[in-house]
Amino acid sequence: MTTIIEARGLTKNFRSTRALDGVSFSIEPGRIVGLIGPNGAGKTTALKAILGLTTYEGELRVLDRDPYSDRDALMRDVCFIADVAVLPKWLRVWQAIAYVEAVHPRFERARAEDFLKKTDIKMTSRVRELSKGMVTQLHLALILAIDARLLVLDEPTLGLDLLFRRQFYDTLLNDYFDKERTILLTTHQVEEIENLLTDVIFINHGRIVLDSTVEGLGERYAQVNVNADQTSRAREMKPFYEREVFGRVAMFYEGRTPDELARLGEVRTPSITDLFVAKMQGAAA
Amino acid sequence: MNVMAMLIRREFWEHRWSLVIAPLALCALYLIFCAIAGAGMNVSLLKFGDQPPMSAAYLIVMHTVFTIMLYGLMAIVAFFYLCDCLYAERKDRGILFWKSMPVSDAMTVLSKLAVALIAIPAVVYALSFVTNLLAFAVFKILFHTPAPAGVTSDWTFTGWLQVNGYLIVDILVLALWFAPVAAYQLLISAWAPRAPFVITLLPPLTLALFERLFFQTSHIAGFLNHRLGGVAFGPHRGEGVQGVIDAVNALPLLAKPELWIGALVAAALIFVTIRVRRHSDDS
Repeated sequence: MTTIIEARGLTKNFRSTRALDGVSFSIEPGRIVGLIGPNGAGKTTALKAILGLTTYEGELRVLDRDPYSDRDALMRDVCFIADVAVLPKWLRVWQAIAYVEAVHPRFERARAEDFLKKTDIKMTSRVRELSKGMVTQLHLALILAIDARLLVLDEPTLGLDLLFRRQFYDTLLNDYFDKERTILLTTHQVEEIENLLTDVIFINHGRIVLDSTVEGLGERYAQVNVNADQTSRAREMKPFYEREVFGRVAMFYEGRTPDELARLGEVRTPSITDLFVAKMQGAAA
Repeated sequence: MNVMAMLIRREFWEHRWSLVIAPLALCALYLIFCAIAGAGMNVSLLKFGDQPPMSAAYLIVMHTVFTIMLYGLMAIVAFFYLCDCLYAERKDRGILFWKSMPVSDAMTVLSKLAVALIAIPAVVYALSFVTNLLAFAVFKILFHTPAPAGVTSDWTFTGWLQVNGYLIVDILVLALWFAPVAAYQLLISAWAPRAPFVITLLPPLTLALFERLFFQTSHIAGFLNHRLGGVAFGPHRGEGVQGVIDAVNALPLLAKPELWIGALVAAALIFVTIRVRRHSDDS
């Protein structure tokens, strides 16, 4: 199987600001990749480049196509939910289904209708009459019925309540994801997708700060909950970030073996959330 | 082709009030008006010259007035449609959904052009045809209006077919004639950061005013007036039926170089519009 996304030196300038600064990464099939970064880090710009919505400098191939010049052909294999607000307000549910059925060769109406039957959404409703959660369900119903190879999600659950968010990701994992498919997503709510991801890419100020499989994180990064008497020795080991919680200091290390760190305190693999904060704060310090 | 049909259908969903309900309402109003007139009510408005109130001549005047109103209404609708169609999708961020579908920017832009230049005129033609037929039936049933001498007697079925044939061909000829105007509007709609209506009107009005103030001439205004309204199809040859047939025959326009120059300008503007649409997202 071929690489799904291949970026080499991807760069994008907006007047005076550089949104992407020579970003390189590749995404293989069958992965669920989280593109994680603070506001203005370049996440959305990167996704827009991948979806052919914006021009860029550098090299970028998505499913072996040039996304900007080949967007319409690419969209046969790529699905995309920006956030909940993009389904046009005037569109009715049956119209959305009829439209996608007519323009998308890989759309299977029965699948979308089956999914919608499990919800409270009526075929005759307009998008403006639906709640935010229902609009997301509708968009998801459309996407699930398309046999695509890459699904791109940009803050897909923004503004949804917890129940809808949980249901969204459960549906995605159970009904959509398989070995042939790839999901690339960005979100602020890192905790929620932690257990979902197979790969993480951290991005900040338009540069990649970390690019790893989730299993690989344990080999490279360690969090030590340092024993009180070991604090100064722990600092000598050059953690890239430390923080104090309830009087205990947690220090974050890169490239240290567990043996080296074991004397300092309890060693564990940091959660993606903690690692994200550590990487971003550490870079700022 | 299936995709193009759906893209055009989509426009009628989005602009249902202006493209469907407004013209239908006008037709319904006209028919109600005919029925009221037909019920023999004495409405002073209905007096037309020295003709008896319900004569065939009167019916023809009503038809003409109604048809002009319908064409006028839909010209206004088409103007606002063209201002809005590539602007609204950026404003409501729906463009991110439309662009997530395997539909090219060229198809999208051409579908909107086709709605303004082909679909709207076709709707107008079909509606005015049906409505006038119904109105005629109302009059016929309620008044037993006799075929009036001198007005309809020399009408033959062939003549009637000819007029309608020309009216249908006119849609295509006039689509070419108005293409540069529509293409200019689409470009503004695709590009304008805000207020596409104002931005559409501003350059021609400013230029015309500027010319008037500083050169005391009105070539620009004249040119616009000629392109937008003053189009005369060809020389009127005949009288009576032949006169009507000549009046609706737009084919002589095809011989005018300005029609083809306009079409070329339209093609260039559409090309630019497609490029702009390709580059646009919700920001």
